[in-house]
Amino acid sequence: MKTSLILLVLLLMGCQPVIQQVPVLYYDMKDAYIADFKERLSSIESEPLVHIDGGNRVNNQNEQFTDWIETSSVLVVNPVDRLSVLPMILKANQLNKTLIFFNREPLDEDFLKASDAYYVGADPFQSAQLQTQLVDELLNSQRNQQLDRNDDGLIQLVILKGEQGHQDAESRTRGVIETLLSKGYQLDILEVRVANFDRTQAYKATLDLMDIYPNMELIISNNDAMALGAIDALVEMNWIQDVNQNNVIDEEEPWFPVIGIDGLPEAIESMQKGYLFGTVKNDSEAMAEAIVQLIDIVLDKTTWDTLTYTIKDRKIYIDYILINRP
Amino acid sequence: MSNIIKKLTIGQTTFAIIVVIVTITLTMFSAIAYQLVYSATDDLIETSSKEFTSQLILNYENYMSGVIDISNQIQRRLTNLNEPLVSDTIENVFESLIDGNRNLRGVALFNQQGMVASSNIQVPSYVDPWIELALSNDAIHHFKFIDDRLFVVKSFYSGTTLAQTQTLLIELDKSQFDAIAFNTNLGQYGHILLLDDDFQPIYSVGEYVETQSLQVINKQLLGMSLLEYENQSMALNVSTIRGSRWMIATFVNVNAINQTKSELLVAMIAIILVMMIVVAYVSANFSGRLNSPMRRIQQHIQKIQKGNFDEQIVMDGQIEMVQLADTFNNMSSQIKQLMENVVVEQQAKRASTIKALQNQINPHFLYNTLDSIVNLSENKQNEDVVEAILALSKFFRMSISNNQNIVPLRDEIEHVRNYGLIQKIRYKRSFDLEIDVDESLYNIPVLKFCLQPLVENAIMHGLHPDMFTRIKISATMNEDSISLSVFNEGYGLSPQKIEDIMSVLRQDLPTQSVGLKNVYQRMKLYYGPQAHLRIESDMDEYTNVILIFPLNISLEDQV
Repeated sequence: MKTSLILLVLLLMGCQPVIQQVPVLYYDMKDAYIADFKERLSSIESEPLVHIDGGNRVNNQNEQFTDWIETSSVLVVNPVDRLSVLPMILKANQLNKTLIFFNREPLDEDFLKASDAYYVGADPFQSAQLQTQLVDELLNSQRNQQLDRNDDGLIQLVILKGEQGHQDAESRTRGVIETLLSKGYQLDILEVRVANFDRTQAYKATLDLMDIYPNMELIISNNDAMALGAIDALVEMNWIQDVNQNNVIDEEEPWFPVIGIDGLPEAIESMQKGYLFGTVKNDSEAMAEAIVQLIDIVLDKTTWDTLTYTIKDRKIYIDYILINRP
Repeated sequence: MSNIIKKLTIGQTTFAIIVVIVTITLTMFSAIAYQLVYSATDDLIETSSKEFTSQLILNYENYMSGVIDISNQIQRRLTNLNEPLVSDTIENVFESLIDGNRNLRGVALFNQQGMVASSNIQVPSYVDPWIELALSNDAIHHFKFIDDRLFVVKSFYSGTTLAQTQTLLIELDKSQFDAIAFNTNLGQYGHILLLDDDFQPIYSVGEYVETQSLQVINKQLLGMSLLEYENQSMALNVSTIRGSRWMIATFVNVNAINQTKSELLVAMIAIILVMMIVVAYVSANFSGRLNSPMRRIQQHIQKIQKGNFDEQIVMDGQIEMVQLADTFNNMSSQIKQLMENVVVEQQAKRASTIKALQNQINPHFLYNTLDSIVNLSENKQNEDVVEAILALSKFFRMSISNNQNIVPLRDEIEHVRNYGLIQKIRYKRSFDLEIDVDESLYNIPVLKFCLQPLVENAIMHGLHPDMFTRIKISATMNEDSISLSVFNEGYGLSPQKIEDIMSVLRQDLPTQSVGLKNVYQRMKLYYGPQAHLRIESDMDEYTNVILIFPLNISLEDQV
């Protein structure tokens, strides 16, 4: 009787193995990029991850954080607001927990206060730098002649900015301007136009810009959606025209260079048809892989030498991938 | 335990069981109820204080995002200014914005060197470090409180070939900010604190003790907890406000809600106590209803033990108890009846015995006998005198000496023999008394004075004056009885006469035949229905009276 009881207890205990769950706090799963990233993370997960939606509310995420910090030795956090992570960092310090931030980078002044925190993300400035590489390639391509239309030695440039004050938008805009200048391009920045990362707003903005700046020579967009919106407008005004109706913009046909960021499937399709000049892809697969590797290391399942990404000052920057027309 | 229970009465046991069961049940239910209410109260405190904080944060965030929107609008307008900053253009931008927004009190623009490029307000000198701060981190809107004035500072990168970073300073209308937490009632010592990223308070609503607040906030850092603050129960929530570097701490006084918990506890204890008293009273009453009838029956039994059969128990209440009392009353009245019967029987016995004795020492008999003796002595029949006197003396000695009612057959034979002797003398030997009893039967107990009256009757009524009459006494053993028969020759009795005599004997009617009747009565008294008296007769031939005694009575059984 006693033996069977002990066996039963052991059996029941066996049914509930103490597997440590690792919570992943997302800023907002309604964001398509975040939803996609969650899928990537789940598909390669070697840990029992719990996916938690912050619903784009800082206070929600703070509550979720306090719910999980007591029981989990490591938390993966995609902050709703990168300015608001200081209490999380201090709380983790207080309880000797590890934090892995991703996608939205905490301020350095906060991050340095953490006793055990990591960051995995991409550097928006790098995406801008890659956009300027595309400008380089544009100049070296057969279409070089087409770029400086008025032949004044300046590039008449318009930048479609995501949101005023948005970290990525600011950083990408500034990165494009500073890198092009540092590369010695002669720039005539006609206007930086805010279109809130939105295709329709970008379409309307571009129609307006074409009207104001008929001498416009290049559009660099903070993301693919706005780039596609700009192309919509350019096609409508026949600045880009598929004369022979073969669904592809051939070399002789009217064309206007637009550069995006993100590597959306639609953008890549547009690029293959000769509309969009190029884009820069955020390598979210690599980012998910880097996070999982970090979790394994933090949970002592593996060692630091198995990490396949470069880590510096406890930060891993995943490189953007340049995609341009073949 | 079981020993204690055994010592208790049924009533006490019932009382104890009811009280214990009710106590356990009540306590359990109350504990569960209190636990439910307690946790529900804690949940209520938690959710309501979280809800309050969440709403408050939302309001602050809306305010800030509104400010940031305005700031971004200004930045957008200034971003594409290609020329070095022109004062009047900037003025125009400001004016158009301020007109449409009551929240703005003034705007200033600083160039990359931190010098005021344009302004519509008096720029205080204390803003200089802010400009530096904004330049060092141009991704953030820096909100600043000073001297009851609220500012926001933001550096931005001019999107022109100027490639310059400029800084915008906006003074906001603080009354709108104040309105967010205005009129919130958080109870005594309930307060709201906004803290900067160094955990220094920058804004507060409500009365508070700074050191204590900062201490608990620094300990908690984030999330919700219940704590004691200045002897008040407080729900503390710490969170952050989006778009700023601010933390927000809300202290909500939950004393009132907590107090209901202790009030509930008191109320529950009171209810339990009242219920206990009621239950104790009811169960004591009930056990009393069980106990008191039993006690009454017990007292009644004690009275009966002392011989008091007259009282009856009067019982009302529980039907079992009433039935028990009725049965008990029946039983006691039956006992009483039986006892009375015994007394009557005893009196009858005594009376009949005295009667029998009186018959023996009948003065006429003595006188007649003595008269006969006198005649004998006158006739000088000395031997007969001696014999007569001896017989008389033996007869009387036996009559008076022994007060036993059952005697061995030998004694009875001896007695009747003496009687016969005496009567022979008196009646000049006109009859012969023959005794035909085997000596082996001499020890069998028989009723005292049972034969003499029959012999007397035979002599009185059976003797023929001119004939010599034979009287014969015999005894026969039956299976479980002994039959004594007194047989006499003589007139005999008609069957009708025998029937009359028997009915007189049985029905207890007055009769002249006192002797026979007395024998019959005593037979029935001492032997019961098993004793019989039978009369057999043939007219002008004989009369035979037969007495049948059961053998199951011994000499010692006499009463």
